Amino acid sequence: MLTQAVLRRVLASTPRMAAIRMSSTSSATTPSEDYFAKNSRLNRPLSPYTHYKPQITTVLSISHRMTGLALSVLLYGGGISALASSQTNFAQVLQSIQTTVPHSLLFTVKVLAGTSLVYHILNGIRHLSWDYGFGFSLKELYTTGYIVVALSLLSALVIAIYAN
Amino acid sequence: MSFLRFVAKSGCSPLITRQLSLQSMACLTRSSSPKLLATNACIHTTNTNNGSLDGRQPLLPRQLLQQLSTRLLSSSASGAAAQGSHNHSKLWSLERYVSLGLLGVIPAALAVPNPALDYLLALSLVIHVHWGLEAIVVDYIRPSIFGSVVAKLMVAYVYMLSIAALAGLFYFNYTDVGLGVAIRMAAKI
Repeated sequence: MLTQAVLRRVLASTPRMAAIRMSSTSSATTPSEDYFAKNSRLNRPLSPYTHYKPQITTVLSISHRMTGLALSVLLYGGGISALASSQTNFAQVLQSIQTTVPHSLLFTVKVLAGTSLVYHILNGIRHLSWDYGFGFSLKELYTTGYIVVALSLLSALVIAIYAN
Repeated sequence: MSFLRFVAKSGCSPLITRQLSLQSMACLTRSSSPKLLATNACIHTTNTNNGSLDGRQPLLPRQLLQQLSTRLLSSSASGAAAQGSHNHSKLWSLERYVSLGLLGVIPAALAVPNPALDYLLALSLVIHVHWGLEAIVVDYIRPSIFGSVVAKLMVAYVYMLSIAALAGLFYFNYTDVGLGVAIRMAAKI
């Protein structure tokens, strides 16, 4: 006679049930295994992430990170070199830079750094709007994204005029 | 699966996590497109085919979500399932407040350069950059790729860089022209 209890035990003893029990309990109570290690052990398939079409969402997101990284290098580089050098006259530092580095390179660095800063600030405002809960619809994402790009290009023009 | 990782890390009881994993296992084994929780395919699982271990029907997504929300709202810092208990929410909010503050401090320090704003600008900039660099390092220098020693070392390196940069900027503010004036001068070369 197949009672409920017997049926339960039979179903629970199948290899797939045993695997489910093992995987679920191990991740719930004692996570001894790293997430990536576990997934590669179970030989799970990956998404075809190398074939993704560049979209404004992803491009702006990675650009936000890259501009942030570039600006960080500038800021930290300046701070650490101020600590390391014995020079305490900033005007003199700028003078020596002006004599050694050609004007075209200085111009390029200024335009790139300024545009990066403006873009990072504008996209940062976009980020903060998400953090406060609005702007998540696809249309809003694309609209605000295009506005950020347009304003950044405009600022690049303005900086180029003023930095010359 | 990342949803399960989130659930386990948030301190959900093992029972709920297991029910969710059974649910997702049922979804996946049905070979239909598994959308997170609420798919019609999951609700209609039969008992004998993909049933749970104790013979009960897996919880409906609505019930699961209700249980999840009560657990998440009631428990404060019980992230005991994964790493040691660590409620990140206050740090997250602090990061956003510093970003907001920077939106005001940068124009102010550049328009009206003075020592107080110079130090405030240096401090808030370094804090903001530190969190950003730490996020980059944690995202890309993962233990699964580089090993846990290198990963921890790189995070420590970011801390050292931030301390050095903050010290350097404060030293610059003290001995030299100050950050606000310096940025204005550098923009003119």
